[in-house]
Amino acid sequence: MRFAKFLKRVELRLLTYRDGFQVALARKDKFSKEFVDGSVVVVNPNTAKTFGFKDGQVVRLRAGERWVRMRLKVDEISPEGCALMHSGIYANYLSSDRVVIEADEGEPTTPDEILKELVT
Amino acid sequence: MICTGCSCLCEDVELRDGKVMHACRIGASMILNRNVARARATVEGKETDIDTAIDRATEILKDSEGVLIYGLNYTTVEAQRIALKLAEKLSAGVDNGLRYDLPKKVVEGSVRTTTLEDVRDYAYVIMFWRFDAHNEMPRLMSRTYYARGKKRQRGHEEDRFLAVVDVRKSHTAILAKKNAVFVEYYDGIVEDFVSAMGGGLARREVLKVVGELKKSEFNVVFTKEFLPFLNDFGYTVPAIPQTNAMGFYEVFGGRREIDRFDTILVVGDDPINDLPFDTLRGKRMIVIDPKLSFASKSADVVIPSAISGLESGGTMLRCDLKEVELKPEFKLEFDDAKILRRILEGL
Repeated sequence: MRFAKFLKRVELRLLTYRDGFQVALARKDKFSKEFVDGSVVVVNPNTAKTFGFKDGQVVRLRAGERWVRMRLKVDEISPEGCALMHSGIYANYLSSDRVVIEADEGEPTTPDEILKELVT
Repeated sequence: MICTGCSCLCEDVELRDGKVMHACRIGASMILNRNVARARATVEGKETDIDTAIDRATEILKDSEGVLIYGLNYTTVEAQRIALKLAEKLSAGVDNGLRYDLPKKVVEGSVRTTTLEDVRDYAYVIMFWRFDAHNEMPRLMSRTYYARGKKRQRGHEEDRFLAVVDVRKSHTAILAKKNAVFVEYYDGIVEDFVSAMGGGLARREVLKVVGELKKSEFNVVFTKEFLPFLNDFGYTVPAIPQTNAMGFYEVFGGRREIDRFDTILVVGDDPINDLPFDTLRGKRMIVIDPKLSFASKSADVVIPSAISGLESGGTMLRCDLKEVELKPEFKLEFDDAKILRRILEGL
């Protein structure tokens, strides 16, 4: 368990939910910085502690060939051993019930970057 | 005005001196930001006038081998009825993006429903079954569980019992405190409820909820799912937050499948949030939407429309099937119904 603290890479079950704040931001502007900043992946405090994740850090979520970068939020609304995301473009893009989460750097993925995939 | 932020369709929302009164964060965001990120009429990515966009949409539909009409949850019953005619004329598939089996049974009458007003006035046990009211329909609890009603005068902590069933400790589950229980969803919980209501064995927390049912003849479940014990429990209100999803089920009955399609007509929704990307790839897309959406970014034609309820009138069905007449605060010329009618006439 102690070694897991340094791995910072884990496969978790992906759950989605309807986040009222994201719905409100989507009703305003789906391409705004606020919307991107509010698009987070939520993990339980115990899961975060076990795998060494910190609130606010940028992580990469990978499902098969597809990946997105998001900020991680630590909150008890996510069950232990799961990753929780708002049911929107990010979750639909990953289209998986399991994701690999690993520490990353850089800016979160924007909807425009995902949409490029659709037209290529 | 009637807030069309969600299917609560709150009737007490007001716009006073640029401030929105009584709305939740979803309704307030919709009203205050109505001019932000508006869709513009485009054909193949180039800006044009709305008439040209409608004409091009009509041509594409005429030329299509198969059409899927997608969305329709956020538009009026009047627009949904025109979309039905359009679907019949084009032999199109229709999909509102939702995969719940309960709404159809409520519309058909095989599951007993009630109104939000009666829940407020009479309900004792209120159960939220895999439904996070706090996030999905933010004012629902203040209009029912927290509100004092005719036969519920002593407040929620004494006159009501709250049960929240969910796979996780949602924001709604966190509110289950005094005279309330949070039941973590587990395999076999539905069978446990059936068993407990028949006097059989079940886990302790399920027996607790079922035990509370005996204290009142008026109990209610808010859920999206059909559960075999719903009519024994009491009344059921479909907890579908999409503004006029119940209107969709009333008008269409449910989804209409189509084997193959090469064109998607999107009405007020965003399939990029719901449909698998590969389903959308290579398809022609026509988007009717008041706002700039993910779908509109890759659409062949975008037709801007009015925000239903805020900028155009008509009727919608609330989550409990109550018909609500919209009272728009603003008026735009082209709403979904008018655009769909123009397309229908042009076919």
